[in-house]
Amino acid sequence: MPEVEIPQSVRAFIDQRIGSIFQLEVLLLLHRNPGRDFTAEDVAHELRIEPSWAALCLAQLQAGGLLVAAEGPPLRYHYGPRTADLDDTTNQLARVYSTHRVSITAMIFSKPPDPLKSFADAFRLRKDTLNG
Amino acid sequence: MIYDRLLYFLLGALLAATFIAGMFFLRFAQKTRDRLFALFAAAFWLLSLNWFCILFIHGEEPRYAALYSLRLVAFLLIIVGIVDKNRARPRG
Amino acid sequence: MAETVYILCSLTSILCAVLLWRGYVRSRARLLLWCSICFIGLAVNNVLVFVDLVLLPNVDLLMIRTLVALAGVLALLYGLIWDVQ
Repeated sequence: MPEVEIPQSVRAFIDQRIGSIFQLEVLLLLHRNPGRDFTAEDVAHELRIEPSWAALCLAQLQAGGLLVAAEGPPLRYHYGPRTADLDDTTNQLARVYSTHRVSITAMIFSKPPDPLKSFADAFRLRKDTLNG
Repeated sequence: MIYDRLLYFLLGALLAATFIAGMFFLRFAQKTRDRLFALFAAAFWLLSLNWFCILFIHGEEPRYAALYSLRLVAFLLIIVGIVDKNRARPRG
Repeated sequence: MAETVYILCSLTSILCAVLLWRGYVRSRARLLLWCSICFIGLAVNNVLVFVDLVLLPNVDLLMIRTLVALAGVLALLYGLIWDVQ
């Protein structure tokens, strides 16, 4: 089965730091362009997603130590993992994603929902929840 | 005497536990970038302060009256958080 | 005035408990179970404060009030420590 070929470090990385396909795509976009600063608008344009979702992903990735933020406004981010290990694992993830896209996607979708997200969602009174 | 000691111990435990809960919420606020957690952190810290004050004014009933403002603000912050979460916005 | 505040606090706590319970049923995330229990404890605490000040002014309910709130917050702490991934 394809899942066997995904290294444990990548699995742990996804488990702990990647909550959605959006986050993964944003991370890999910045990882592909290491020297370049991105704003949320830039990311939204490249990936064809809502700028507000792009902004949230960028902020979360930065909080997770994968991106570095430069002074705004508007806030700009570039790829800058806090440790060499994170860099290694992100490189691995980029390689594995290019060859095993379906497996990685399935892994992300089969994660149990983040308890914190469930907590925040519990306070939405209306049913039409737009996921950030 | 022993009753008083037990009471103060429990109040101390309560204010400490509430303070720590606030710290967890602050950490979650940083991790998720969600305002709701920041508001819960502030609310729990205010509740902690509330019980801290009760610890020191216990026995002097008239002073209790001012304490409810701390509790009120704490729960108002939670209400603000819930209202904020339900305003139509694409971001969570 | 104080009475209104404690009633408001009770109602807010109950609202939170209900929303979190509903969230727990939907997501099965155990954190929400503990949070719900905490807010039930806070709701009972606020009701007891109301009872203490208004209905039974000659009785000091501080011990039971504190115990109920403490039980709730300890449940919350348990959830915050163990049930957040």
